[in-house]
This record gives sequence, C-alpha cells and structure tokens, in this order.
Amino acid sequence: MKKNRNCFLGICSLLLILTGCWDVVNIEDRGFIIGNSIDLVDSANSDQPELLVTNQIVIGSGIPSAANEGGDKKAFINFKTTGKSIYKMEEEIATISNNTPFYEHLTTLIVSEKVAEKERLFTNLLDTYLRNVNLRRGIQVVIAKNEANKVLEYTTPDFPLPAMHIEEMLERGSRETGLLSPTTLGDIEEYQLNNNSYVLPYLELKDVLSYQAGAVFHGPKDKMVGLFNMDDMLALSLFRGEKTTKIIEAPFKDNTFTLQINRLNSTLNVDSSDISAIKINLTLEVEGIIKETFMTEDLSSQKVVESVQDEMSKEISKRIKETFTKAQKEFGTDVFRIWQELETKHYEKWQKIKDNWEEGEYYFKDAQLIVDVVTEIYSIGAINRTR
Amino acid sequence: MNPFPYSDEAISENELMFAIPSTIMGVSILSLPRKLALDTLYSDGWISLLLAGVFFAILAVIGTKVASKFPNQSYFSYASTLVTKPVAIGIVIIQIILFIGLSAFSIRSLAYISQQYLFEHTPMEVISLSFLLVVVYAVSGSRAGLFRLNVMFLPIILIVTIIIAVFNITWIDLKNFLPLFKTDMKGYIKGFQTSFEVYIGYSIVLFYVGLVNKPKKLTKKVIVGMSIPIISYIFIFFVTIGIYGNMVTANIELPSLGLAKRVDIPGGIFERIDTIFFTIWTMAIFNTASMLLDVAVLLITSIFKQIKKRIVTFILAPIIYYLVMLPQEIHQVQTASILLSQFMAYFTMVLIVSLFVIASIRGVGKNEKKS
Amino acid sequence: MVRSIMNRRKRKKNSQPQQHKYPQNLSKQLTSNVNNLKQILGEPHDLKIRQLKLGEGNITCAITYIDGLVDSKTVQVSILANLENAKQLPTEGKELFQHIYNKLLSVIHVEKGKTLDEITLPLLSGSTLLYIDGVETALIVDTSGGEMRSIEEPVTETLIRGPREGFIENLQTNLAIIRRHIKDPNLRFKTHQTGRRSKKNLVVAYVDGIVNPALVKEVERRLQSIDIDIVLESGYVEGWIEDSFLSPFPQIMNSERPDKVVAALMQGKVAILLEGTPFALLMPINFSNILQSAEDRYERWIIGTLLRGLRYFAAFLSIFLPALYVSLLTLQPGMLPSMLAFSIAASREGVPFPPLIEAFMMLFTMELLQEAGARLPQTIGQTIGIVGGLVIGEAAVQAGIVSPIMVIIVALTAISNFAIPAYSIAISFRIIRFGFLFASGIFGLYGIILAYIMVNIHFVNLKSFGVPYSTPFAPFFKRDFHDVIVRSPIHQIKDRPEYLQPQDTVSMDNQGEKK
Repeated sequence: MKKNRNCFLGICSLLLILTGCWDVVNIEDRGFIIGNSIDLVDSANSDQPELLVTNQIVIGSGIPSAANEGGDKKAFINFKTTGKSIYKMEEEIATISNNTPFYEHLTTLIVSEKVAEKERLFTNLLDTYLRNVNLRRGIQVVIAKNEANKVLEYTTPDFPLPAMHIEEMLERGSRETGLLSPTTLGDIEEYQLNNNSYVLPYLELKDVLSYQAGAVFHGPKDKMVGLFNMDDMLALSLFRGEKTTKIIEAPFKDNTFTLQINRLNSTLNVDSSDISAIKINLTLEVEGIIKETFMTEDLSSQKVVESVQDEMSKEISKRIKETFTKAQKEFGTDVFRIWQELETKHYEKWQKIKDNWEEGEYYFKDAQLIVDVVTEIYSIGAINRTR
Repeated sequence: MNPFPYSDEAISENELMFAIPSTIMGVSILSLPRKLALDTLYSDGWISLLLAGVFFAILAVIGTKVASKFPNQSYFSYASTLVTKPVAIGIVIIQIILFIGLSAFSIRSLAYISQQYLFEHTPMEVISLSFLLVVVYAVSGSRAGLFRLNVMFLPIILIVTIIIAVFNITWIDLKNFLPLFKTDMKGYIKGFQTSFEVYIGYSIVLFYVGLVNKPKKLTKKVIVGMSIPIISYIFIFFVTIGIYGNMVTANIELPSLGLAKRVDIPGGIFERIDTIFFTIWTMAIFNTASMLLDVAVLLITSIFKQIKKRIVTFILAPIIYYLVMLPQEIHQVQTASILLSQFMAYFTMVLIVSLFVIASIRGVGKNEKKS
Repeated sequence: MVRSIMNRRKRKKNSQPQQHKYPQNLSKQLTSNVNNLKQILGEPHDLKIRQLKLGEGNITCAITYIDGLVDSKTVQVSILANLENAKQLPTEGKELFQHIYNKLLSVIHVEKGKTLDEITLPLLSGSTLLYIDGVETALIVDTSGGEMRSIEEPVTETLIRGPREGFIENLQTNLAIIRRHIKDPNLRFKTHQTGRRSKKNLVVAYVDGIVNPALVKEVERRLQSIDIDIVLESGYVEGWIEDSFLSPFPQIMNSERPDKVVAALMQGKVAILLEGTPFALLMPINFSNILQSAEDRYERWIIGTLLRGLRYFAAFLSIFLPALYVSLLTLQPGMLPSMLAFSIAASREGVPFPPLIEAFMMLFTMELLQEAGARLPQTIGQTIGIVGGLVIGEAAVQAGIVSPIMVIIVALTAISNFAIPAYSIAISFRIIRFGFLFASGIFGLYGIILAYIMVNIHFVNLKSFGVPYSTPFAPFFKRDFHDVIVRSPIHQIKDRPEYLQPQDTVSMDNQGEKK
C-alpha cells in the first residue's frame, strides 16, 4: 500500500507542478475558421503565382439562436491575406485577428476557377490542407466562377454563415436532386494520387448562389479542363448508378413528362479484347414514378405506359451518350471511372494501357460506348390523366 | 492467509490469453496499413499479415511448449538448464535490452502521435514523462494487477475499434479491394517481413508461462490469444483499404487513425472521432509499454534475485526516459524501431526454435516424451 | 494490505491497556456488595437499588439495575412481583438462592455471577442483579430493554419497491429482522465485544455452508486486532479492518437495509452488525457491487437491467463530465460539432475565468451546498437546495461569472452523483472527479485517459478481504456476469458469485428445473 501511496502522491504532485497548460486556449479565444477561399491575384509570373486567401472566422454572438436574437451583428468576418504559401498566410491571420486561428472546424474550401485552371497549382494547394493532421478529410471542395472570396460573403436569412450554407446546400442538393455528390478533400486526394479525372461542384454567384455545373478536372494534366452542365451531371450520375433520387424529363409526342427515378441499377461491362477500340457496355435498369406530364394520354393503359417507358429509355441513353462524347472528345477525361472497371476486371490489359489511357496514346478517346436502358414505371401518381 | 487464492500473485490461463494480444497490439498497427499497402498491391496485404500471424502463433505455441516443460520455473532458470548458465545470462541480458528499448519506443511513439493529434505546443518531454510515470506506477504494483489491467482494457479497445469500423461501413468501397492476388511473391515476402514488427510481443509466453497457475489448456489459450491480434489486424487493414484504397492508405502517415477521422457519428454528438479513438488506443499502448517493461523487470529480478521488483522498476524508469528522449527526429525513431523489432523478431525466432530443439533432444523437463 | 493489519498489531503490543479490572469476588455481605457496586460506578443516580426481605427467614436481598436500560415492566412483573408473592420460601440463604434461581424468576435468561467483573458488564448492558444476603453469588437476570427507536424505513437508502424496514440501533432487533428473512439453521451470529471501554456487542453474521470458511476466519482475525476504547459506529470497525486505508474507494459496504444484508449473506458474504448503529457492514465487495441497488432484483429483469445501465452511465457522468467539458473547451474544441462549438464560444464571451477555474468554482460550490444541506435540519436543507441551486446559479450566470452551459454541466454532474445508490462510493466519485478535472485541465483528453488508467491500476491492486476490487471483470468470472451489467431474469441466476468462492455454489437446488 505504501508504494501505491508514494507513486500516487508523486504523480499527483508532478501533475500539479506541471501546470504549464501549454496548449490551453479557451474556446472563446479561438477564431473558428469555417471556410477558406483561394483566388488568384493577377499574376504576371506564372511559376509562383500570388494567391489571395480568405479565411472566414465565426463570431459566435452573431449567430441567431433561441437565446440570442443575433441582432444586426454579422456572424462572421472574412480575413484576406495575399502571398505565395497558404500556410504562411494562415499563420498571418493570427497577427490580424485577436483570436487564435483554429482550423479544425473548417468545412468548405472554395477555389476560384482561375486557380483550378492553372496546371498543378490546385494539387499543390491541397497539399497544405492534407498535410495538416488537424484538418478534417471531409472538407468540401468547390470551384467558384470568378472570384471565390465573394462566395464567402453570400448569406441567406436562415444561414448567417456562408461556409455552412454552402456545405448544407451541396449536401441537400445531392440528396434530393441526385446530382453529383459533394466531393471532399479526402476524395480528391484519392483521385490525385491515382491520377484520375474527376468532377467538382461548380458554384456561380449571380443574384443567388447556385450550383449550376460541374468542373471537370483532367487527371494527368492536373488542371480543370472544362464544365459539365446540369444535364451532363445528371447523365454522369446515372452512368455511375449513384443511388439517389433523380428527376429526369423526356419528350413524348411533342409533349414532355417527368420521371422521378427511385431505383437505379447500373452494370458496366468492358470488353478489352481490342485495346485500340475498347467496348463499354452499360446496362441501366431504371425504376421510377411519373411526377409530371404535359400530355393528354391516359397513363392507365398498358400500351401508353410501355411507350412512355421506351421514350424514357431512349432519352436516358441519348443523354448519357452525349455526355460521354463530350467527356471523351472535348475534355478527354474518364470521369466515368471506366479505368476502375479495367483495373479490377482486366488487370493485365490495364497494366499495359494505364499510362496511355487519358494521355499519350489516349486509348480512352477510342473507346466505344453502348448503352442499354430498361425503364420501369411502377407508379403513375394519383391520377391517370389531366385534360 | 488469503481467503481467495485466485487473487494471489499467480496469473490464470485466461489472463495470459488476454496478455498476449494486449502486449502485441500497440503503436505499430497505427501505421501498419500504410507499410503493407506500400509493399503489396490493392488489398493483398492481408495475406502477408495472416501468414506472419500464423507463423508467430506457431512460434508462440512452441515457446509455450518449451516453457511448460518447466512448470513453476522462471525463464532464466530453465534457460540455464537448457543452455548453461553463462549463455543464458547473455541471452537474458540481450532480451532485457530489447524489451527496455521496445518499451521506450512505444512511449516515444505515443508521445509523438499525441503531440500530432492532441497537442501542438506541449513538449514531448512532458507527454512522455507523464505516460512513463503511469507505466511505472502500474509495473511497480503487483504483476497479477498488471495482467488484470490487460483483461480490463483489451475488451474496451476491441469494442471501440469495432464501433469505429461499423460507423465506417458506409464509406467502404468494395472496388478498392479488387483485383485480388495481383502482388508478386516478392511483395508478399516484403509484407511478411514488415508484419514482423506488429507481432513481436508474442514472446512474452516464454517468460510468463512459468507463472501460470494450474495450466490445463495452455496451448489452446495461447492460440486464441494470438488469433485476437491477427484477426483485428486483418480487420483494420481491410477497413482501411476499403475506405481509402491502396494508394491513399500508402500515403497517409497513420491510416488506422485516419479511419476514425472519417467517421461521422449519427446525431453528431462528437466530431473528430479520431481523437477519442486515439485516446482509447492510448490504453492499448499503455498495456504494451507496461508489459514490455514488466518483462524486463521480471528478467532482471530473475538474475538478481535479491533486488526487489519495485526498486528495479524505479531504476529502469530514468533509463527508459533517457532512451525515449534520445532520438531527435521521427525518422530516427522509425529506423530504431525497425532495427529493434526486426532484430527482436529474428532473435526470438532462433531462440525459441533452438530452445525447443535442445529441450527435445536432451529430453529435459517435465514430460520426457517429446510433446 | 495484510501489512497494514500487521502494523496495527505491533502498535497494539506497544500500547499498555489501561483497563480497570475488578476481578475481586463478591462477598457474602449484601451491603458490602451493594456498596462495592456503588463505588465502582460512582454512585450514579440512575443505579436503582431496591432492598426487600424475603420469606420467613427475612433474608435481605437487593435488586439493582440501571434505570433506562432495563425494561421496567419485566423487572416489576417477572422479578419483583414473583418474589413478593412467593410463599414457602426457604429460610436459609443458599437454598433461597437456588429456589429463586430455579423457580421464581419468570425471565428466560438468568445467569450467575461470582466476581464484580462478571456482574458489572451485564448490569451496564441492561441486566438486573439480584443479591441475596449471605450468598456470594449474584443472579444476573436479563431484563434489557428500555426506550428504542421503532423500525422505520431507512433514510439513506430509499427504494420505490422493497421492504419498508430498516435496521435500528438495537442489535437484538436487527438480528431478529435478519432471522425473519433467513430461517435457515445454518445462519450464524458470532458475537464479539469491541471497544475496551464501550464493550459493545458486535455480531459477525454469515450462513454456514455457503460462506467461504477462510473468509470468516480472516474477518474474525481482523476483528480481534481491533484495539480502541470506544466503538461508536460501524465506521470505526470499518476503518480498522479495511484493506487499504489510503484508497478513496470503500472496501466494505455499509447498509441499513436488512434485505440488502440478507441478499449479501445468501451470496456468501459476511455481515457485521454493531450494537448502537443501524449501519451493518458487508464484506467483501467489489466495484460492481457498489453500483447495484437492492431494487434491481425487485423490479422485473428488463427494468432492473436498464436501471442498472442508467446507473453505470450516471457514474460515468459523475466522474468524467466536468473533466470532459473542460478538455473539450480548452484543448479539443475540434471534437464539438461546429454549431455547438460556436454557441458555446458565444455563451462564454465575457466570462472572466478559464473553463478549468470556472468548473472548479462551480463544483466546489456544489460540494458546499451538499454539505450544508446535509448538516441542516431537513426543512431548512431544502431551502439551501433552492437558494444554492437556483438563486446562486441564476445570479452567477446573470452576473457573467459563469457561462450557462457550465451551470448545466455542474447540475448534471450533481444529479448523476445522486443516482449512485451507495453514499460511500458516491463520495469517492466526488473526490476523484476533481482529480480528473485537473488532469484534463492540463492534458485534455490525454490527461483524462492517463488518470483513468491510474484509477484502474489502483483498482486492480486494491483488494477487499482478498477479493480484487476489479472482479468479476479481472480476474474474469464468466458466470458472475449474469448479475453485473445485465441483471438476468431471476431464474437464470443459478450460481452464487464465483469471486466469493462459496462452499455451496448453486443457489438453486434443482438447477432451476422443475421437479
């Protein structure tokens, strides 16, 4: 017992002596940085471009809550710094702000289109964020048209914090419309390490902040090469068989109707016997509900439904093909992740062509897509037809 | 005197069963998926992991057989019987150094990781000193108590690991596992060798079997004890690969911790589960460090019988602290750890096999017939 | 732990017992006997002496007793009246003595005493002495009684469902209550006397055939080492015989609930009951025992299990909550959900103290309130609760000294602490809570886990009468787990706890199967 006491007392007293509390920073003294945006300052010399980094710091008392009306106070401050090294700029914040900058609550990173279009710059920027162990891998990365720092000033009455608003918007948007799901820092790291092409959400601030397109990044070239519009995004989502609700409209005898896709099953088969003309077979099984029609046909009849289903299949396969052609011919990016299919199922072939897939020989450009869509309408809604 | 003989200093079979995984599972597993992902392709690392695990399980069983031929004898005494006293002293001294070094290494790694993940400015000296003091407190207590600590902490560690994995299930992409078996022989062997460092704790059977009270199904317990780390390692490796894929895993410093970083707890009570996970894992590292130190203490007291255990512990503490603070940078730590663990693995391997062969040939010990 | 007992033994040898002994024999003369008695006791006015002449021989005899300790009705009806109404009494002293002893006393327990020593102790315990002139032996008639508290519901351990009886200060009554629960002839009450001067009766209770005999031996060995002049409460005994007096954790459980004691006896534990206190001691115990309430077994098993889980959770909160709060606020704010972190930061705006000091202040205030509430009469005690809890809390927040969330944390901690069934462990939790608080103030979560490991190290090294405090977790007893975290259905609990190594391991004769 004596030994226990000695040790116990020894450790206790040591602990008490060691009241250095090196890392103790009270929560109210921390500047919670929730959003970062990166812009390019007009750069004459291209090898080390000058950057403008905006840090969004929360002002807790400005957030309206049950106890706290919020009042006229703004809920955030944006600190802007310019320089070449992101990390150095972030350290500078400490000198301007009266709070210790704290990055663990960083949720959104907005990168200006101009930065993304510069070769290798985007990847290098992300390195800073990935290297810091205190940052979450779940930080959402979006590309903004024009100036990214403006996006960090956009507020709505119910979302006083722009960075939070963007995060929420992307998550809800992807869940409900089935467009591209938000992409996190961790995902991008994976794409970049594998030299994959990928698509990031692309935001545009006009009157409202909206998510109108996807920014397509070319893996080997390591920069943004173009934009996917909303139709392309939908087609991409359909191609990948992402299990979210999607809404798609198709023409039917001069009119249109809208289908909400609830279940989606996509099967990809790649025939790599001829590597100069790889055949891609995509089979899509689509199940959905008719949500809206501009036609007069009675949907209770089997025949009408069948023809509607056919139209829908045609429409889907047309759209996928269009997008595929766009990605293939215009951007030369395999955002459909066909390479993964090759890698997992045709490993030996892939070893031969993997360096010439999106560059060099460009085998991807010669790939052919065959789409086979089966649409199943399992509900036509509450009524048969409208006059 | 004591109305409850089970609470005496002797340890039970079950406690030994728990002690084996507790000693084995420590800091190494946090970085292991990265190293394995570097050596092998896609998800193939598990084969190396499994093979190495089975290999060391067999060695552990052999070690148990040797030790259980000399019931109630200390390691030093039966080693002296087998290979003469001077040789045994030499072996034991090497082992003492190895165990002290490994214990110091785990404390250093813990201090390093916690400085990375939990602190920023707190000096590593303070972090490791406070941890070392707790380890010394544990080792200076009763040995049975140390084993009881293992029994208490191991389930917590395993449960938390499983919880983290379960929360991660939505993030697992099955495509990351494919294609299977594309690694060449060389990769597997390299992975096999890499896996040595996560299994070295198995050799505690040599020292503790003699202390086990009324062993009945010792071999079985040792096998069960060995299979716990094997299964959990493979599990952790699979989850890591499933979430990150081979490429990213190979790129993250501590993928097993990153695993926890990804978790979103439904309901959002806590964010950043990695902090909690690491905090819990501190318990695993504590178990490892204290068991390794205890082995060193046990060996020293078996040579110098007149010195008390507690005094040995108190003498060792500053030495360990010096060793902990010795390397300047993380690369030195890693190099030292690889050297130590590889040497330890081969040394113990040769030792156990030769002890077994000698014991079988000379037919000493309790069961004269070959086991 | 054994050593601490040994130390005490050594101390015992050194000290010179200064006990007044009166080995002198009684004389034949009644007056000198009575005077001797008076002299020893210092002629107290509560010593009643009634002299009377008996029979034709007019032999003087005296009845002495101490007022208040005896049941005066018994003295009157069973002794005095019998003596006075008796006829044909022998005329010679010795014969008269035998006659009275054999026939006249309608009291069950009568003894003979020959020395002053033999008679003073019973006298002081409530017996009535009967001297007869010319006889050098006195009759000791057990008439103990007097005023005592009636059996009431225990104040410290209230249950919603369960017997409404509690122990009282009278040992005989307490033993009787236990007997009423266990009508087993194997129930043993071994009486000891403790305290050089207090000479209180102390009963070691156990069920022979269940209990591990070595345990009883050990308990008695330790009891014999007790060497103090007065034993006021069972806490004195506990302090003497516990394993480690340095541990913040109790190693002996106390209870004033007979049902709890009976349940423990049936598990194979030993109980110690002391005269003059309603608190019985139960031993050995382990940590899981201490968080169990007697009610767990009275409610249905699902409820029992869930409530037990709730209590474990309460224990967790009670120890860790302030520490976690401080570490989340100072070192690991990244773990808080973003919006919560912002609102806490906003609510702490303008609070002058760092969270650690704030938490310490509030917890300290809470301790003060609890102590003040316990010391005051019950009616005022409630006022203290209101004044302290509501007024001070509200005012402190209004004044901006503490943040409102801190008040919530402290209140939650206090409430959790109240949910712990045993006061003795609840108070240890209050102690170690502060340890965790400081650890987290310095090292955050890392400090908490180090402190947790340290508590665990202490746990595994701590023993209660040889039973490791950490049983049945470690050493692991699989079968004991049906009544640790989960309270299994009553018919599933077949075995007595293995960690007690009982002689009779099974509590169901037919293994739960119907005949």
